[in-house]
Amino acid sequence: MEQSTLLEVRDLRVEYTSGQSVVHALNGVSFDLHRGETLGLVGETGAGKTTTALSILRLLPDRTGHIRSGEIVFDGIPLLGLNEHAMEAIRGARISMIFQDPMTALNPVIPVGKQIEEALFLHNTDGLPSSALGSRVDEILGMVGIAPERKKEYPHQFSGGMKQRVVIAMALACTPELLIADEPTTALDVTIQAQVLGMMAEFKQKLDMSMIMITHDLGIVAKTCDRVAVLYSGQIVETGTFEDFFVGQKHHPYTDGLFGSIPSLEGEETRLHPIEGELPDPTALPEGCAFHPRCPHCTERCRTAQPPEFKRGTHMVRCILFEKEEGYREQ
Amino acid sequence: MKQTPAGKPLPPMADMWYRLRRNRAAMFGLGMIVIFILAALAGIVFIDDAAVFETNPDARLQSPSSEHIFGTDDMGRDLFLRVIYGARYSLTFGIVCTLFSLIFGAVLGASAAFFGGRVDSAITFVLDAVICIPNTLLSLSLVAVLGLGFCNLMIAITVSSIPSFARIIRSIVLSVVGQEYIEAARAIGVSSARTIFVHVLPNAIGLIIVNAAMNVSGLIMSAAGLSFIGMGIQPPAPEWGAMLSDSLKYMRTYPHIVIFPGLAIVLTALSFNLLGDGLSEALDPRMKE
Repeated sequence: MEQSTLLEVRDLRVEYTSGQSVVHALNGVSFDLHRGETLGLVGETGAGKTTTALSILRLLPDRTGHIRSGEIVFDGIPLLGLNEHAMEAIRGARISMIFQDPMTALNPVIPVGKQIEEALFLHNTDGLPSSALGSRVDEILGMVGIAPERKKEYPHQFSGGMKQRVVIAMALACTPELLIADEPTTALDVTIQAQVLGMMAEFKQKLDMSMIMITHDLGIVAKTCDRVAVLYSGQIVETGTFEDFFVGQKHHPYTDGLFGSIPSLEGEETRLHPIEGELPDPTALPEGCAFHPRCPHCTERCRTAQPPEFKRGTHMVRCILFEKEEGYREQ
Repeated sequence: MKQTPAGKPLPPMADMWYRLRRNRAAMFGLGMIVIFILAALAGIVFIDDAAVFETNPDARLQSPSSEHIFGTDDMGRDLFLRVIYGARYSLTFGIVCTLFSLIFGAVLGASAAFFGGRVDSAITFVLDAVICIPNTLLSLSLVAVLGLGFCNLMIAITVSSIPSFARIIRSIVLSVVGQEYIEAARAIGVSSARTIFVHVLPNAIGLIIVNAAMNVSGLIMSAAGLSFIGMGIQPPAPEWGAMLSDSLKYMRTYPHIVIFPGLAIVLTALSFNLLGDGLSEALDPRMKE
């Protein structure tokens, strides 16, 4: 696989301010995405997955969301330094996003064909005539498995799975280099999930895209991702390749907890094993390791000091348990 | 999802029209409005001013007859012609003033909602301050300052209805801006101006139309009210409110000269209200079977 870097996120810190309280949504997120690669961004609700995605597209809500520090470099372009106009030229054309809920992500008063065409129309740098845009819309609809005759219909005339296909068609219309999929299948039922995921994997191959797959479903990660990053409380607590996660046995206690909460098909189990407690209040993060209040291996040091990153090859874990682990080195 | 008998689902606006058509009260309102507008236009084309303004002492206070269907007033003028002639005032006030306050209200309300922050606080502050003054009092004092006259009355009525309009539009736009498809549009690279015009307004327009229709009847009433107390259109011009106040002293003996202009006011206002009600019902997703 080609290993040139497409997207580099460095020490990204994002805060939401609402009235007096400051929500620390991202606290130093760093990761790389190589060309042609799918990165799974895993974490529970509120961990900062969507905030990461919106930061890359610079679509955080104006008044409340602020990028405090950090760098986002896309194909050599520092995105945080661009003006709004330059950013509009990148959104949709080079970086696209698929939203979580297809029921609400389509404009109810515009026919679906027009909505797909809008992306093409906005990024029509080659000055193609509108007839060419129209036939491109037909082509894209065909690719996502919707009969081109249906392009004059409105979103409410499509089922959930079909709507998600339209959303995907919109995102792919301009053949972006990077596709951010924000829980693309959470709102769909399981059979449709499999179809949509299969289709996305196919396009990734065909169009040679890179993808960030945001999800809380480890099953989806296992099916689609080359690399995985686990977000907890606005920090990446573990990253590694597919093998590091699904073959390797050593994980961050939080990742262990995530695996533990999946029911097993083989063993005789009567109960699931969820992670005790809940995400820390992002307005008042605990001192030390953010996970320590829920961690079964919590020590005195975890309560006071932020754990450093420990790395072995492609595998990175942010937990002091890996201090003594063979081959892991503090960064 | 709504299906027509033919089984074809409709786009939102056509769907709204389809459901409106089955609402009898709303269609009655719409029909009455069309009749009033046609009557007003016919009045402009066919009625010459002499018949409406010139007094005719020989034909004073006649009851309705085949010659004068609504009878005549205390100056012997034909009431039917006067009521038809007067339709132009009320409809102009109702519709034109609503349009203008809609435009100003939309600009103020939409920018408050879309830009938020300081813009929102400033606009909302001013609107709240103006809303504290009762509508009638506000337009009354504006007429007092500007002076009597058709245009001044229109300005007064328009200005007094802008604040409530702006507030309603602000809240409608706020609810649309928060939708995910607006974010999705931004994510494919749509600029903020294009977002407002292509994505936000078409989704807000239905509710705005409903509020505009309701507003028309309010403005007709307040124009008639101002003329009634002598601060609007002046007699002998046959403005309905002015006609009412003119004929009050004959109410006991010759009720017909009060009844017809009064009926005209009530019917136009009611028609716009019925239409507005029907529109809001047709828009409400919970009303879909």
